[in-house]
Amino acid sequence: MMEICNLSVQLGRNQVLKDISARFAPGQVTALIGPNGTGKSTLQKALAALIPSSGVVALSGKVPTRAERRDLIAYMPQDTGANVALSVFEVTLMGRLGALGLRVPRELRHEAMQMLARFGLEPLAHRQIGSLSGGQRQLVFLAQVLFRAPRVLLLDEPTAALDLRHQLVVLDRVRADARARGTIAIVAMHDLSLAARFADRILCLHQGGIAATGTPHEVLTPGTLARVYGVEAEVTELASGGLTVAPLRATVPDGQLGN
Amino acid sequence: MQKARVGPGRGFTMTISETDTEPMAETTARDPAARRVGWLVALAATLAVVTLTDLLVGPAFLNVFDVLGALVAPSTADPTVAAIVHAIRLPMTLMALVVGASLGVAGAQMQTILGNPLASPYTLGFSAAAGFGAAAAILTGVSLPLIPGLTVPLAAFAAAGLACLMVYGMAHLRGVTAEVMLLAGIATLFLFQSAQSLVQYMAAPEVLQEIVFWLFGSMLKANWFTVSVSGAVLALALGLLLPDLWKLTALRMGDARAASLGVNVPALRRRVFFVVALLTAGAVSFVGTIGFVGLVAPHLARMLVGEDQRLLLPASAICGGLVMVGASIASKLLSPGAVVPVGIVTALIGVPFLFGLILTGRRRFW
Repeated sequence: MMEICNLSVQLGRNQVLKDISARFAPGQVTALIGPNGTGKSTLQKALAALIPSSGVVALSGKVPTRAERRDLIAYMPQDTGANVALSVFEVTLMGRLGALGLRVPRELRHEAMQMLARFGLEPLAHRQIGSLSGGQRQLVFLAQVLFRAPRVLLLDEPTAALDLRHQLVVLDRVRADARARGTIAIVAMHDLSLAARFADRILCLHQGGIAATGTPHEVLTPGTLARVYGVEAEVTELASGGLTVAPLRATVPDGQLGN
Repeated sequence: MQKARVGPGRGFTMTISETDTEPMAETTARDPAARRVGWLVALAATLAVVTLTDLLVGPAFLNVFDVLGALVAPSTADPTVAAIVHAIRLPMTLMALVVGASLGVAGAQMQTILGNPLASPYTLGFSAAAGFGAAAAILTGVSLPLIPGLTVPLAAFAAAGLACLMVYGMAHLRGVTAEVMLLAGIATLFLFQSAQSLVQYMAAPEVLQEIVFWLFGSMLKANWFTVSVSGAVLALALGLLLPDLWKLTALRMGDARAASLGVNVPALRRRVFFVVALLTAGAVSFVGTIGFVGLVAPHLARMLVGEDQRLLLPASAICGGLVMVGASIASKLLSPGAVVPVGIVTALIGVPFLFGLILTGRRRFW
């Protein structure tokens, strides 16, 4: 269980996040949604101790130090740029940076290759990361972060560069991994139908605070969407039990959202 | 490896969990470094040949067999030849090796911590400061008690240390990022260059000549003491870098990516910055400013062995040594009977090399 209590982030004069309190259960996937610039990436970076924050972050009832948090919590940035002469295999291996020495143990190499195989990336193992497409790079970085086997997995728009099929495959892989290893997965995303399809819970941020939290059915309501996103949207329940969210029109003119 | 359920993906052609339990062929899971270690061996062998060649070449026109005899069995060799080889050629060659390796390693790490392919050990002003320190010591004519011969190198080292503290101080106050360090470093570089010019302007012609000779960078200043000190600094720096090799490889993917892998980027950048400062000061304080080795050697190494610092670190050292010793041979051949300061030659062969690099367009290695 991860609990955060009154987490606030001040960047310069900007109060980006204010008094965020939430609980995240092991094995569950939480979708982090909200309009652009509302603090989704900032919350993830603050949890991973990559930027300064105030408040308490507790894991299994203990409050880890910032250095411990960097070890236990893995954050995958949104940016997939990597113009560097490293192979896909090397990039994946670096998921377990702490276990690598002058020699890379055979077991570790084997596991890294298996992780690549799980994403269908084995044939690309010895290609340079910079020579891949944006979507392929996103898959490699996902393989890297899963190879790290963290207690808490924070993914910042992991499907942004992916085609429809890979969006499903990747999120399914993340959910399966969370279930199997008891990982706490928090995934920032913009596609609300996809969030409803894969997330156990949704945390909706608005203006640096929590606008709504709960199951997809509880959070993804026309009322919440109008209030947070300034759109009129149709939320349809599917026969499978899922939801689709279709935005119809913007109800708030540009530049006035959040005022 | 656990086998995960793949709901919507079951019908897809992607190879996913179905292959999880299959054993991987060992050839596909080899250590990536093993594929390129041959380059390291080839580089080391070339360096050995070039080093030996440098020992055989010199203004004294010694017979090849006499030099080899003096190297292998000094007791039975001609005393004059043995004296030239052991007191002059060997320290000069070894110093070229150590200085080249130091600048190669310092350049590779400067490019890594600044995330900039054009960075070199001199980018942050350490060398300009060392030049100023040496020039000021020569101008004032001060000499340290007991160790007068070390006055100029120590002044150079101290000034390089001061430049290092200035850049670090700025980074400490404003954030240990590549941008802050680069800006503070370039400002420091200009400051010490101006100070150096001022000292030269104030100097009498004969003193100015001495200053200019120091600034050229020459292995003629080498002796067994300088080789020992610079060699010890290089060994210490390599030892300090060893635990951070994978973190430095990760840093090549950018600050955010390295931090996401658990690397404390500011702390790593700070540590490596001091190692680079130490290496640069250790190299230039004794022999003067040697241009371009620190810029070109890491690029050459990166082309051959890639970014994995387990190979890049030794390869940068070897390439640095190779360029430096190669330049040393060229400096002796350029004008028979004399030795042109090697600092002039490295820049002469360095510029066309850099142009070649740019023209071949191997951008992905930068």
